Amino acid sequence: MEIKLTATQQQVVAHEEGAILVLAGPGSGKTRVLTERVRRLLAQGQQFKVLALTFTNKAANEMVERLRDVPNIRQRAFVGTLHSFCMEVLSNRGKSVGINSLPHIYESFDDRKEILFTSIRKDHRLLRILMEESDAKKRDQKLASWLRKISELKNSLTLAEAVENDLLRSMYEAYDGELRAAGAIDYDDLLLLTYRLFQEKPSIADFYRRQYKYICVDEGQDLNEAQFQCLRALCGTEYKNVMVVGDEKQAIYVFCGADPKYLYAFREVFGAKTVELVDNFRSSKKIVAAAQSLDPEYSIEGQLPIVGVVKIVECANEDEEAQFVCAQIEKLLREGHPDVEGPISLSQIAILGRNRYVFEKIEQGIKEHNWEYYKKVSVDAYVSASDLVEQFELALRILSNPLDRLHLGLLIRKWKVNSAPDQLITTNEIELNGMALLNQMATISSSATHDVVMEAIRAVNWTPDNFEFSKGLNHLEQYSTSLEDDQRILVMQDIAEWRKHWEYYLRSQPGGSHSVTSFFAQVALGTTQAPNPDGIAIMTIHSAKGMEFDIVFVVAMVEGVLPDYRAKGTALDEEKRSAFVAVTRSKRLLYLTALKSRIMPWGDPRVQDPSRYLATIKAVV
Amino acid sequence: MPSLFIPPIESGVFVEEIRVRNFRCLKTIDVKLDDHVVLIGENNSGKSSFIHAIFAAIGAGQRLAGREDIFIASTETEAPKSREVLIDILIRPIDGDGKVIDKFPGASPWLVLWGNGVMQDDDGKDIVAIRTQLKWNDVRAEYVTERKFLKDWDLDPAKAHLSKFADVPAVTSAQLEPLALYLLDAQRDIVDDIRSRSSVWGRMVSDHGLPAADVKQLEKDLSDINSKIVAGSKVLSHIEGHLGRYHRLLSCEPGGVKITPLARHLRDLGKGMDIVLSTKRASSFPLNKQSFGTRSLGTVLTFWSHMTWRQQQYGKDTVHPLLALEEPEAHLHPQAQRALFRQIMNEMPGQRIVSSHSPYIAGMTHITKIRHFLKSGDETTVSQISQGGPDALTDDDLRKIDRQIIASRGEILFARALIFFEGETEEQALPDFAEGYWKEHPNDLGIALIGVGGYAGYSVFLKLAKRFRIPWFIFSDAEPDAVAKLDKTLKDISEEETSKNPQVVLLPNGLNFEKYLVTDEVKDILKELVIKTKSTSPEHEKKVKAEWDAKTDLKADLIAEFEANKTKYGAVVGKSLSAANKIPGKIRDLFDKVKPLIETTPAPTKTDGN
Repeated sequence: MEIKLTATQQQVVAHEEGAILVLAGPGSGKTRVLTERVRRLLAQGQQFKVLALTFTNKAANEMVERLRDVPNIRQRAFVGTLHSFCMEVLSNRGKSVGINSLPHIYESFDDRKEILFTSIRKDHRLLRILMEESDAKKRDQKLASWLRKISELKNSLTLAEAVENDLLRSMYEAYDGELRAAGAIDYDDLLLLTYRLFQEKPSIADFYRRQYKYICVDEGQDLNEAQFQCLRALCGTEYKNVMVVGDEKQAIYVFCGADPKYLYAFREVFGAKTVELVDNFRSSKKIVAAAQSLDPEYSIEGQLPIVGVVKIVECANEDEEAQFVCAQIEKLLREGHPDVEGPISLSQIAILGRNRYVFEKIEQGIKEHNWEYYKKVSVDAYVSASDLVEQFELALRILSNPLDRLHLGLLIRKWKVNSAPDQLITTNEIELNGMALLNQMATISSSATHDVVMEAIRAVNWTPDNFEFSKGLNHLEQYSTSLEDDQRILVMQDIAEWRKHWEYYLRSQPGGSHSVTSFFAQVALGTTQAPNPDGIAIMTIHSAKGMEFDIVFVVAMVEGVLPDYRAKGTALDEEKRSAFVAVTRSKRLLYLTALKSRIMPWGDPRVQDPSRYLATIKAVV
Repeated sequence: MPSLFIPPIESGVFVEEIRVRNFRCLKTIDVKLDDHVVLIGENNSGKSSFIHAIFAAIGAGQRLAGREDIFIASTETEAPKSREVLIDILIRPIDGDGKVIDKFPGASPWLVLWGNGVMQDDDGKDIVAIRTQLKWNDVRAEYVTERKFLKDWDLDPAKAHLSKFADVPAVTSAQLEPLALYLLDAQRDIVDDIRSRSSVWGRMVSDHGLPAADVKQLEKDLSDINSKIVAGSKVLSHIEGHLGRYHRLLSCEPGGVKITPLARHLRDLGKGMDIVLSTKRASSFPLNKQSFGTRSLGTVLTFWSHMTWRQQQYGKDTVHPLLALEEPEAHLHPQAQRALFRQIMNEMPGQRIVSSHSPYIAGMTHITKIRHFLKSGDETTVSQISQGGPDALTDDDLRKIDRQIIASRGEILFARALIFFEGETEEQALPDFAEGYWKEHPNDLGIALIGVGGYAGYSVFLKLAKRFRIPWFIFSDAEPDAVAKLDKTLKDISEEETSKNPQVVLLPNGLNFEKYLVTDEVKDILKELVIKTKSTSPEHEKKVKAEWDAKTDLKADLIAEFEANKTKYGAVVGKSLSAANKIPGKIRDLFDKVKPLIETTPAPTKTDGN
């Protein structure tokens, strides 16, 4: 169903040169306007390209999908996250900032914490301060807080040498040193180093400006300092063909450094003209009203002539909540709904929650009904659930980067090898040969699984430029038939998941070399996540950003969950925006559930108050 | 005189340099290109391998390379598995005047075509470096070709192999096609091209571009003509009648069997195309009745029309014509060689790489466009004379080389050894001595004997020989004045002085050539020669003989006679002494030095131009 563009939408699509800021509320056709503009620009001529930066890879993949009919789209446009763009910049042009080849990316928080810990152990002063904490848990918290500090510094584009606090500087330097020794960078480095590169080598930024005549940035309200400055460095002083699309009302990443103020900073710095998209063609009238109750400033002009449903349900506990959700789904599947065209399928339904811990009973219920579903509760990359597949993954990483002491250390533990990483690397004089290193470990390993992992490793026919991932997985799959059912299920789940990543990776990198490094880098960047899986979506609100569903359940709407118990002051505003985002994911029907009692992590039930937002919404519906 | 007018390259890109490692007979060569370059050197010096290396990398059509393309040293029976072929190509942006510029402009189609394959060098300048690598793959147990963008281009060719592939997708055919190399080899023949669908001709005519309505009408006309021919021909009607039995034997329609003397579909007409050529006052002949020269030329002209057609259709900045033309002289007489080459140099668009054995073509090439291939042992080296650089030739040198050598004595660039000397008698006599020594004409052996025309002449010849690394020898008088001049010249080009230089053969005891020739051993032979030469009739001969028999100081008189008539005696003295097996010792010494160079490699085969 293609609806004609409104006059304002048309205005954005037709925008030619110069900067433009598009303020676009939920359901205002933001994605469509973005894609249509890119399509129109590309149709104008052949001799230029477009750079389209999205917030998630999923959004990027969707955009490419929508533009599939544009000839040579992959050649004409780079569509991806700012991080993947930085990756491209650094891996080929990063020599002057110390990146000589495709960098290994350490993306998981735990991995990075481990790196920080390793580096601190080499520094007596830092170690002493860490050991002042009485127990392991507190030390871990301290490490985590240090790591967050370093990340904050990087995100504010502060180089280690510019940090005044002596302690912080040493920490930052030690951490970076340890990362580089492993031939790796972290996620924050992608932006920081790209920013530095553009500053120090203006000809490289200039190259991208010549290549990309137009730049489009989606979800502008989620820009942080580093991203905004990176964009500025890319554009230099003359380049103005930038379009930023965003919505202050949907800013829910302020807690990790994003700030909608960059929308307005962009307007100022680039002299952007502003267009507001004030229609909502996504949500039914009731849903719009619910959203307006949460944000009185949310006013819209155009609207769908559909009433829709907003229903608040108070349940006694999680079991009852799960029963309600499942019963409602069953009913909708069976009977359909007058406000939803045609029969209802599972992929039109989403279940959203403020955090990842609220879905347990509901997930059980869905399983019992044998409904297909998928769960996306974090923005992190996939983590193998089975020990076997994890070992295989670790071994692959070591194969491609024998310097990777972090993952080497993990595999040493799993394989029960009685040596430290440095002993293995230096005492055996293995000259950075991953295969030799693994063989060496396997011979002294007392684990049960190292043999099968090594066979799988040999099956991938690894070279620095290529490897056959699926052959390794096939080997593990074959082996898994000998496992207990419980274990086998986990292994098979992992294999299926990795196969999807691999397939998507191969499709997105045609003709390129398929090295282990580049594969894991793309997985870390999230570009290998296939768009729109089938089935019911179970998601955190943050993961659901930019998505829409006909039917949405927002569950566990209780004080302490939404808003989160830790939120105070301005953070409470962000909680409210989260509620706003959750509500506006729905196109037609919205069910909000509260709980009178909830089981706490330690097993006891506790009485709950309904979320304050429910009262607000109740007042209008 | 070589023309200095250079038509600008309008494509926006320029292939600046090509580096080849381990391809066929080429172990390591680096060649800088220009708008056009002429590859010269003996047969088997690697010119053709070089052209085929570029073709294997970026050729138009099937670019295949395999095991047999890997360099094998003479001491090896096969190439080690670790040896890989690298063919690196450096491309830079140019402006409308054909000058290399720092950056692709924003609207350059090449920027869209190559995208992130475009790299910045250390100075921030745009480069595109494409590596074709042929490498043994253990897993597939075969040699595998990869074609990828390089991340950088080391200015030091010795470090070329250290350059790494960029992390961008491999180079696609679509990314190469607009600058693909067209290779017109020595066997080119327009008659073959017309029959082949994959030739430039075949591809061009396969899409005639006529509107569908016209095609329909024309095909109807064809069908009518076919019917008319068959109806009018008794024998064709007869055959067609008999072929009608088909329908009784197989399941086909009665009357469904037709002979079509002409193609029924317009697209098939291309197969039967011909070019009819009529020369002045002669009737016209189809191509296959034409000479090979004409047929070879047809291929060149077709390539040319292909490139200008594409430029017209899609814009001059979307195609970079890149032509490798082997032996443009093939089957053409000197006048036609010159005319063709002049057009190729001055009018053909894009970059042209021409290999040639023709001294006429070498003679028309500006010295800076010559790439000289020389093979010694397993190694081919390529040298060029460039303006600028530490040991550069002066503009005056370049002018002299162009005027005095290349234009008139183009063949010296193809020589395997050069012998320089000064003096008229030497010029006349040395070729005969050489033929007497080898029993073959020195030209056929690749030896060029060059009179430098005065002592001042040595310098420029020596510089040229040194730059192109062509082995050279000097055969010189020993008069003190001559030796002093030669010493100075040698010193100027940093060579050992005359007396110590193994490449210089000096006559003994301060003698000049004439004095040296006349010895007691051969004076009687020479006397006979003088008598024969001076005599105009048998009667006269008796008189002359009497006169010379009476000489009291025969040697002195012979010398005087020779010095007074240098050209006259120069032309005969060599033959006469050689026939008597009396080649003088110093001349023999000279040839003994040259001999190893001639015998290490097979003699060059004669080509049209020589």
